[in-house]
Amino acid sequence: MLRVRPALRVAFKRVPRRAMATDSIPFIPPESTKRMIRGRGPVQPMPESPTFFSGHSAYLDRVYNLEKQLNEFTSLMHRAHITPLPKVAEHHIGHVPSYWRDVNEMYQILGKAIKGTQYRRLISVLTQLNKLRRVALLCGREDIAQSIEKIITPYEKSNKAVLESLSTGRKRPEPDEFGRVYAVGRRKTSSARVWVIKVKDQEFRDASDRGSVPVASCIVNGIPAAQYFTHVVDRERLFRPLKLTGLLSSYNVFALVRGGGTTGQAEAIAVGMAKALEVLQPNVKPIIKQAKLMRRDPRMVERKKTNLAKARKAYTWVKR
Amino acid sequence: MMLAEKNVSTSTGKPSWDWQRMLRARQRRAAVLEYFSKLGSTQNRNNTYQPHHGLNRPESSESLTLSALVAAGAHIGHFHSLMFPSFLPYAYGTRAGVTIIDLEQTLPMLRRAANVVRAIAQNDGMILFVGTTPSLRPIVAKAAGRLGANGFHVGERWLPGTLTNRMGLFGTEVARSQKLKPDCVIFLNPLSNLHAIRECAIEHIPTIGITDSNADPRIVMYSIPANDESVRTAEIVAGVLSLAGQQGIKWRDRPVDSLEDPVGLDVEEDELSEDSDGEAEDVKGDQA
Repeated sequence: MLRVRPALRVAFKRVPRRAMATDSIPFIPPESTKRMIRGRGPVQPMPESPTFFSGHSAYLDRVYNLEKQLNEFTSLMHRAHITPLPKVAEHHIGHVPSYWRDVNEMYQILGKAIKGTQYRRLISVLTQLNKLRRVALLCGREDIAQSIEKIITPYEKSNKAVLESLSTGRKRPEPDEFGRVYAVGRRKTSSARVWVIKVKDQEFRDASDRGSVPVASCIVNGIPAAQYFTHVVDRERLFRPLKLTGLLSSYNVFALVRGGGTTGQAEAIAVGMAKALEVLQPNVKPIIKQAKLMRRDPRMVERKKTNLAKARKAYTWVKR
Repeated sequence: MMLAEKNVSTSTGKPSWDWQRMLRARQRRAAVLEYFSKLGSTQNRNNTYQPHHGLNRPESSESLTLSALVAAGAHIGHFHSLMFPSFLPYAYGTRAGVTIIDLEQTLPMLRRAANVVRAIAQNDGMILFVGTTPSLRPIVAKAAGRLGANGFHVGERWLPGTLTNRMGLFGTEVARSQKLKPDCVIFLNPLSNLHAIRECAIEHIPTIGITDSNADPRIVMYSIPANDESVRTAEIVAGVLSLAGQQGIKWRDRPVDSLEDPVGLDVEEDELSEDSDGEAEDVKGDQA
């Protein structure tokens, strides 16, 4: 510490000294002394980004920022009593369509090429933000939805509106004004168009009618199903969705089926029936799903190959 | 109805979920809870420990207690046969086949490390937090954020050559124009980053690290013997060190009257006050 005579010390304190060019100790503005080492002079500036030493700094900055904002919006939704969503509500969110830029377009935003894993990580965060936005919209909170949209829009394709209008998406069958649901089922080369309608509740006219059970009918190509499918096995296949859900007498079925043979046609109608039932009564979905009735069976007849008798059957091997 | 149909409307069979009704029910419940929480116990969510407090409410090195470290599981080491021989001075004993770390030594070592970080930050040094597992990622990011422009973090894989091959990794222009050598590196999982520790040793950079019982405490300059597998312990350590760094930066950036002391002559106030007012006035009169 510099020891100064009392008189001069007082002068330093009470009278601000003017800086002169001939001063032995030059006046240095305090701001410029920030990054200086005494005796060694100025030091180089530090990197701007806190993730500089991780490599892929630009990409990581964006991902960390998005993840941070995702956390912030999640807690905002918690405070707005929207989340956590009950499991039942999760099913009613529906499919959230997204049109994110591909890897090459992301290069333009980030200024550097990113790998597949890095791209997928970025997209997963964006998808979560998009889902939050959809939930906020469903709950009527447009303000939250708009602030999320501001963040995710730079990562969406520029022609998103065009793509949205073009894509019809997978249409979920809906009941019409009479309560009929139309669905299509296919198996092997058969395709069935199926209409499912709920049986009208019968009015009991008198006491003798009480014991009667409402009768449901199933008509295939204008013929009752029992007549159309002569084999019992085919009939079992046909009514499997209704039997498993216990709705045999609750729904009428009208089907037009073409192509294939008896088994294929029966199973095609069953698939269509299952799809329609799922719409009419969503609570039967787990039963139908477990029985694999919703699935269009992809097995088709395998083609015959050259040098083989059939698809797999080989000709008898001859030693000579 | 045989099966529950609360989500199906009768007319068209179209399923529906009343979001507004769900919101209103939740708001009512929250209002009831809020009303009754003012009555009875004064304990609420804010003054009770929550898991996110470790990350967002760091403790200072002075206020940190042994109980807090024990609660975080900082004393639990690895299986006794895996103990590194050099770790023996920091081992309290074994329990259930596991080495128990002596926290009465850990705490002063943590405070020493905090002092180092505080001094480095005070002198405008660059501090780098390294924690390469997914659970350590948010911790190092938060700790670096507390140090502002002086804080950096590596939450992903350490790229070999970050310190020793700066020209190759970042380019000659950046390497020449910017300061790319941190003044201190803090490792939350040193055993997974031995290459990084070696690079720091080559470049003469002081290191601080959480060393578990299966690690050699001499690999880092200022070791903090504690459980490196516990996330809560890492939160505490990173919180203490980042808070110390924050204090150093605050002291560095404290407002100083620049005209009074432009070059930092360290004129002490005590000596000035000893002089009488009469003398000062005489001097003033002479100058005028």
